[in-house]
Amino acid sequence: MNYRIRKIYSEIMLGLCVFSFILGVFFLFWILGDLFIKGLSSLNLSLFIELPKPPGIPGGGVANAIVGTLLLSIIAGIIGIPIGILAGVYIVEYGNNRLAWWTRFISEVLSGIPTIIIGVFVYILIVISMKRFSALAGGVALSIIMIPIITKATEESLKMVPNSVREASYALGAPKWRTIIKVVLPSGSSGIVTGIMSAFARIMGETAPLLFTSLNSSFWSLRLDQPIASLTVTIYNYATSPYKEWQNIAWASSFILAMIVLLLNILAKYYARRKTHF
Amino acid sequence: MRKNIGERIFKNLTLLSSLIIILVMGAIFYELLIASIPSIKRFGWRFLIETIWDPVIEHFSALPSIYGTIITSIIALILGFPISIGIAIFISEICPYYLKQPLSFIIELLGAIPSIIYGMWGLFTLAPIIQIKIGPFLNKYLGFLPFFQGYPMGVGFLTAGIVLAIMIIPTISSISREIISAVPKEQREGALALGMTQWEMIWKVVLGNAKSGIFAGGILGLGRALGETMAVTMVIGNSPKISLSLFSPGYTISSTIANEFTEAVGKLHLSSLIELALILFFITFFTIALTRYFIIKRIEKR
Amino acid sequence: MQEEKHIFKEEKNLEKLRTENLNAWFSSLQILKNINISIKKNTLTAIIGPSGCGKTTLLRCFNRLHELTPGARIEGKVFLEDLNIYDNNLDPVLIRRRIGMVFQRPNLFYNMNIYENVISGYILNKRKISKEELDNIVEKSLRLAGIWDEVKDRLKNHPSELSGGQQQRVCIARALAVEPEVLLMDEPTSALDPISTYKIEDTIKTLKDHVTIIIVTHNMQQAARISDEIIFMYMGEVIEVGRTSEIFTNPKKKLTEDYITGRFG
Repeated sequence: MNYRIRKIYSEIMLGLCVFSFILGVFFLFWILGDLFIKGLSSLNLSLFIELPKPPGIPGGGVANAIVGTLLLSIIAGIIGIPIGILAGVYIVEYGNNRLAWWTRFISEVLSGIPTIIIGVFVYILIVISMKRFSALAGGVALSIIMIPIITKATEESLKMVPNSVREASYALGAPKWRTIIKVVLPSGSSGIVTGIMSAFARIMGETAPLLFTSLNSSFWSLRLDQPIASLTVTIYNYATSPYKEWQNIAWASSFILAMIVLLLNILAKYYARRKTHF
Repeated sequence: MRKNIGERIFKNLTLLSSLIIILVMGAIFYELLIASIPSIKRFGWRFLIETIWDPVIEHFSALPSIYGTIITSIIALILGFPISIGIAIFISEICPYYLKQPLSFIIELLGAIPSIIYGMWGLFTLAPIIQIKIGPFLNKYLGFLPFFQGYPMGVGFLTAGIVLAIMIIPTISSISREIISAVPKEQREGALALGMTQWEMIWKVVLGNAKSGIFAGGILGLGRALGETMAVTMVIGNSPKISLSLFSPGYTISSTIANEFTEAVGKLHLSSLIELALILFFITFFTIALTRYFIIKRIEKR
Repeated sequence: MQEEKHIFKEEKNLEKLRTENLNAWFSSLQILKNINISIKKNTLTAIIGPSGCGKTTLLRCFNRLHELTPGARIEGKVFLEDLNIYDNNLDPVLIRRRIGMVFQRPNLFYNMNIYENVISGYILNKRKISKEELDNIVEKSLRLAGIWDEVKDRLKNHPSELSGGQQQRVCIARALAVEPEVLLMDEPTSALDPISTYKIEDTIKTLKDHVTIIIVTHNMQQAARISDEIIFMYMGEVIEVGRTSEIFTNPKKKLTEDYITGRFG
């Protein structure tokens, strides 16, 4: 092949790579643009303060679903954050053994298990034994999704903490556990906080694990042993309904959800970029 | 020895957390297996090879769902994989240095969008376009292939595949980008010094070096496509059919579960749905284990 | 060797640290071979030797840091006055509170400000002390480390604002703040520029009255400048021990002479 042809071929292939990128960005803007146009046009105040209404009756909101999503995330956080961080600590600080290897491996696999399976699992584990759908079950399902994300983030940020810092603490007579709590974890905190924020962004957008754990509800509820509404399940139910006004509410709710999730992601990114000293 | 007590408590708490993770994994497998027993007893191996999924006559088999899962994932990979690699090459090899971070963040945003929103977009925006524009077009020019025969309804395998393709782009491209960036500079310079064009350098040297890593990324993307639920459920049409036509509505494993689980009245129906979940569990477990194998292999090569 | 032992016996009341048949390994590799040395109270002892001779490992055996490295193993005894620090019933944590350490590179805690770093020994051990006392400890320790004037107006600042030399002196202050009986220094100036090195050497010399110092250094001039006693190590063994002036003017072993005259190392 002579050089001219090779050169042209090279340019074409590079052009295709540029095109791929443009295509990716095109889809991103298409999806987000759609969301903005259809979501913003249906957005109104009653969405944030009113309860759902039957189809045909104007108005109605998803206030209970917003609160529900927050409550579910809080439950998941209460369970998931400590377990995730502690498991990460075990892997890095105590784990010179097979168990640490297995924890890391299983945690990685767990993070790739389809979330609908986690929903089925929690249904069998909690919903069947409690004999009812509940916010607790939804929160537990979300916490199982959260744990591997936080474990991974903790593991990676603790590995970045130089060993000399630990030794400095030991040399001052600090026991290992106080070294970890007072020096190692705070030193790795920005990475862990980033991980926690991404984990929240992730679980707030989850639908599948909630479908048959926390189910849905048209009422105000903060009770852990009762079904509870969530933004995502509400969107799903409304979007797949035949009523135009419900579909519009689904769009507006999607917009709210996307804003929360993207904001959390951008915050996480910003937090991760903050100056780390190592 | 007060200090020792603190040490012991803290260490055991971390140990306990590790065990919880492993226990949850074991429990998922165990519970799914136990709950599938009625279905396994009733249908045996036929569950995997028969084509009827009918709650009314209480006859269940997984093939339509497995078929849909595989078809949609294949479409997603065919469309999404090359684009992902192209994006990875663009970001790591072509775009100026100061744009690398922001541009990869934009692509990562694709991965941050909740799947329910992909579903909304797929259902209300993409499906009509498939039905009115793309479907008839493909039918007209490629209608001689079995894949593009029949009347496009908007929802179906093709729509689900396209949505999945977009969803797996961030997964594959971010892993590929990391691996491509890790190829040493000397290798590139060596190739260019031999008189290779930039593309030849990328193709032969960079991708040659990054092969197994990119493959691992592809499998991870596949894993995501296999298990994705909401977006697919909203655009696949939800009907247990096996059809070569990509315009046809169908089912995937996850969409069957999402669609029927709360409405499953019969014990056998529920048990069959849980067996489906068990199958999906095996499939994803296998793909992730495979990915790890390739990543480990890549590390060993270093 | 016989002669040195004799000298030490005479001054037994002044002995601070002593090892008895100390051996140390990294997995199967023996790093220290049968070390028997004695270190006098309120002296400045320098451990010298070519890299890889085990001098840092020896130092890290004195505060039981060596055993924290995966695969590390130790046999033998180390006495801090009359206490065997490798006694099975002894929590190593308690030893480390009596024996402080300064490392090769400044390793201040970046999650604490300068003030908190100096009192981190108290924070980490949960010792409750009044604010006034803490202020006093901070000032006293920073003065001892010769850096009070440079940092007194920015105690609440982040340690990364200090230069490497300043950070290292805050590290010294941090170690001194808990009033250790022995201070171990592992090549404390190897990462620093000559001016910082000079300042730190100056500081170290003034510390002798407060604390017994053992310093590892690969810099023979430094050892000559600041130390009272020299321990020369080679291939995991102690070759020669003696007063600094004697070692440098009249080494008894050929190996020592070769090393200090720069024929190897």
